[in-house]
Formats: sequence, C-alpha cells, structure tokens
Amino acid sequence: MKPILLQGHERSITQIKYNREGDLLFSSAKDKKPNVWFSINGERLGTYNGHNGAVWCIDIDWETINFMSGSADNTCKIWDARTGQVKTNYETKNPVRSCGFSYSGNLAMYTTDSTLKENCYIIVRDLRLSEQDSPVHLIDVTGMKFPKITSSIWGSLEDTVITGHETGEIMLWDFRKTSSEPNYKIRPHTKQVMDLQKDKDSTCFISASKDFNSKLFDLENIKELKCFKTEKPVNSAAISPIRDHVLLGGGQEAVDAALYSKSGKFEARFFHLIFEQEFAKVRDHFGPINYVAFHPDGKSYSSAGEDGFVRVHYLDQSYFDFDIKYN
Amino acid sequence: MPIVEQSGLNWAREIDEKETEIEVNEEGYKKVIEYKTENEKKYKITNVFRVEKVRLPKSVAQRKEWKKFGDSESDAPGLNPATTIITDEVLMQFLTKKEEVEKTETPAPASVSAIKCRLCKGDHWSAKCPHKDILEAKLAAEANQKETAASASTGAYVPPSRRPGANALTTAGKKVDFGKTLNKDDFSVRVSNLPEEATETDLQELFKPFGKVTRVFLAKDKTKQVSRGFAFVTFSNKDEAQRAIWGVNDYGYNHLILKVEWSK
Repeated sequence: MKPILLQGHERSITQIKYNREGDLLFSSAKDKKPNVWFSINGERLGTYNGHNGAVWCIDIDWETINFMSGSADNTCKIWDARTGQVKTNYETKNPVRSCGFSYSGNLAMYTTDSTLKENCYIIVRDLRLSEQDSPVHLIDVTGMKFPKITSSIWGSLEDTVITGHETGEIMLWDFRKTSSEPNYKIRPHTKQVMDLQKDKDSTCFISASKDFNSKLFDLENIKELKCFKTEKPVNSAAISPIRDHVLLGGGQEAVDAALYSKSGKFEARFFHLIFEQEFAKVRDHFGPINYVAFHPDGKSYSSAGEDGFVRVHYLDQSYFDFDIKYN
Repeated sequence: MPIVEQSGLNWAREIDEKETEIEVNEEGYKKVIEYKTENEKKYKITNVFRVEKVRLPKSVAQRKEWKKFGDSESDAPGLNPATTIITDEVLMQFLTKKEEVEKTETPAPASVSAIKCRLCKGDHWSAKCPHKDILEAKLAAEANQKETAASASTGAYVPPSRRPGANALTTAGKKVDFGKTLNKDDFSVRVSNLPEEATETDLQELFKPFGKVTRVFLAKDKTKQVSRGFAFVTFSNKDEAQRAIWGVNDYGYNHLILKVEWSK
C-alpha cells in the first residue's frame, strides 16, 4: 500500500476522526488550526481558523453538520463543518482536554483540565440552547477527589459518559442519577489513559494507556473483556468495524527515551480482538503514533504521529486474505 | 484505491490551456496530454488516469461539492502538492507465521544433547573433555601427517584454496553460510504458465497440501491488476518445496499446464 501523507499541521497531531460515512477526515494538532480532508485522495477541504492554542480534541456529529474542537486556549468551539465558521463558543476556565458529540448530535460533552486554581469538570451543553445558558450537566471531578480526565467518550445513547483518568482509572457516569458519583469506577491501568474509542455498534470500547496495555471493555458496565499487551506506551487504539481486529498505535515520547532500554519507532500494530494476539504491523511513522482511526468501511485506516503527519493507509488485499488459523 | 484526478499542474494549464488533449479509451483510462513551455523549451506531459464510477450516499456526493475554506480557500480543485503527498510503498508485515516457525524450531536443538565434544564425541564441552590432552595431540599429529603426505605425493603446485587444510576450512565455512541463507529464500518455487484469473488465494489453496506456505508472490499487471502468469511460492522447508515441485509440475490447471521449478 502507498499511504497518503497529509501535511497540514506544523506540530504534533493530537486527534484524528472520520465522519460517519468516512468521506471526510478531521485532524487536530498542537498548532491552532484543525484540518479537514477528503479521505479518498487526501485533498484538504479546509481549516478551522480561530483557536488560539493547542487543539487537544475534536469530534464530528452524525450528519457532518457540526464540528467541535476543544483547545488549550480555554474554549470549546462548535463550528459549521461546511464553512469553517464558529457557531458557538463555550468559554471555560481551563484547557479543554476531551470532547464528544452525543448520538443525536444535540448534546456536546467536554472535559477540562485541573490546575491549581480550577477543578476538572465534565460539562454537557445542549446545542439547541444559547451560549449563555447554563450547562445541562456539570460534574466537579476534582471536587470528588478524582484525578483529572484525560480522555472521554459518550456511553450508550445519551445517558452515560465514560472517562479515562490520569492515573489509570476508567469511570462511567450516569446522568439519570440524582447523585453525581460515578456508577462504575475501576482502575484497569496503572498509568494515564490516553485514548478511548467505541466500536462500530457501541457495544464495547477500547482503552489505550501509557502502562503499555490496551484493554477492551463492555460499554454498559465497563467490565474488562480483553487485554492487549505491548512493550511501549500505547497512545491510541481502534477497533476494526468489519473484522475482529484491533489497531494500536503508540511509542515512547522523546522525553522518556532515557527511561527504557528499547528504543526505536512504534509500528501501527494489528491484534486479533479475540485471541489477543499480534499478527501484523506497519512501520512508517517517524516517532510515536499519537492517534489511530479506522475508516467506517474498515478498508483503510489513518494514523497520526508526533511527527505532525497524518497517513491514510488503504489496506492491501493481503490483509483481507489473512486469517489466523484456529486449529 | 481509485486514482483521483490530480490537477496540481494548474499553473501549466493556465499558460497553454488550448493545447490540452484528453483521450478516453474503452478500458476506462483517461489520457490527458498537456503542453507547457518553460525556459523556451516545450514540454509534453502525459498523465493517465483510471476513471472509476462509485456509488455514493447522497450526503457524501453533496459534500464533494463543498467549497474549500480556511487556509485551503485559494487551492484549486484537486490535490495540492503542498499538503498531500503520495508516499512510497509500505508493506504490512505479518508476524504469526514467522513466529510460529521460530517457536517450534528453536527449542528443539537446545533440549537434547546440543553439546558435543569435538574430540571424543561425548556429551560435554571439548574444553572439558577428560581425554583432552591425549586426543588433541593425536588429532594434530594426524592432520599434519595428512597434509604433508598430500603435498609431497604430487609435487605439483597446489593453489592455496585447494590445499587440504584450506579446503576443509572453506567447505566447512561454506556449509555454514549455505545453511543460513537456506532458511530464508531457497525454499521458494517458481510457478509459471498460470491463468490470468489466478489469485494469491488460489495459489495458497493449490500449494497447501504440500506443506506450510510462508509467502506467495503473484506478479500482477500494474494497471489491470491481473496475473502476469507467474508467481513465487515459498515453503518453510526444502522437502515441502520439493514435494510441491513433483506434485504440481505439469499439473493441468484451468486448461493450462503449470510449470513449477526451483526459483533462482
């Protein structure tokens, strides 16, 4: 396969996401402008100009109408995906670390970092209300003595949110409950949870952690189902929508190079979802991979790295012919 | 992946727009010939595109018409070489097969008496041989005798590479090297006279009965993606490859007689 290299960012990539049909690929980096690309040929459709700091998280709604981005400039912006104009600008007191649209696209959830002065919050806004209205849900995470949130996704329907924390906890919050304590709280990882991604039909989700592991959980009760072990920090994990495969991306940061004996680049690694066995790898990034995403048709995937490039890979026939022998 | 029309050369088009020729042939290939003049030299640029029709959801088709915005606002339709680059071929490396082979083969020699004394052929290191002193001296004397006898018997010039001592060394060395290279490539067979519609999976099926097929390479036409009539099939050991040659050579496959031989 000949990957398409997307060179739209000046700094390391933080997140990439496909829209529902997979024709558009959104990317954000530590520079100020999220980009959108046609995934078929890598043509850049546009950039969303307006942030004034690193963009940590992005999301696109079901119909590709609204695009959301959370940034270190203490704002979470909702954009018109088509024109790149800001529709709504939610001010926060801290950098926005993770964000996501609900299934309907009417609710926008984002989480903020905790600092010395300010607490870490989970905030849910209704896009049908105005900017000044108070949030639909507001949970003070630091107030409950929980570590800060580093990644988050919507759970089933629009009732729950799943968060991954700095010290390896994963929690499920149910908004239907009157008390704001999390419904489930586990600590499957020993280090920071870098990424959470749902599978196609929202029955399970996968976590990626700096403790070298990636784990698969049930979406309803966050029960641990599978564990994928590597020997490098895992920055991102994605589940194939068509096959029982899992894709992991990661690698050690340059800062940590002295801490581990093994160096070198981290490949995009393919694991079998059920057997937890690694069966293939693709090495092409220079430096660690920060985010991986499967195309919704499962025939291509994209990886984005610390090197600032996004690579769109159309998988070869050999990948589809490959099958693990069962006997 | 469909090749989408590139128009990164739009500046060339502006100069000589009239001289662009477009041909579309029956197989769905579009040929675009452009002429441009640069430094008073005229260049002819021929691009061949494969035209593919794809059914898309309505929403996707609509999004294709979206105007570019932000930093891409001034980009022409098509790829902008500043932001999009088609990179070199990258291969997906499959692991399980290799690892399985390593796992099954490596422990075997380590388990049973891998240690063999060079002197008395006993089950211990040569350095720790109880008969070391006696045997070593004996062997050395024997070797010396042979050498002198050989060189003395003919009297003619013997090149260093042919001399008995050297000979033993080189053959031994060669044997070792040979064994190493054999591990990788030398169990492949070349299959030729394949039908055009043969695929890699067909070959897998065909050669599976003879042993573990570690790799199949089917030469394909660059544009049409059909078989060019030959392929290389790699087995995990020599016997299997040899059996495959005996088994499939002259085998009738889809009205063609296959030819299978050792690949060189």
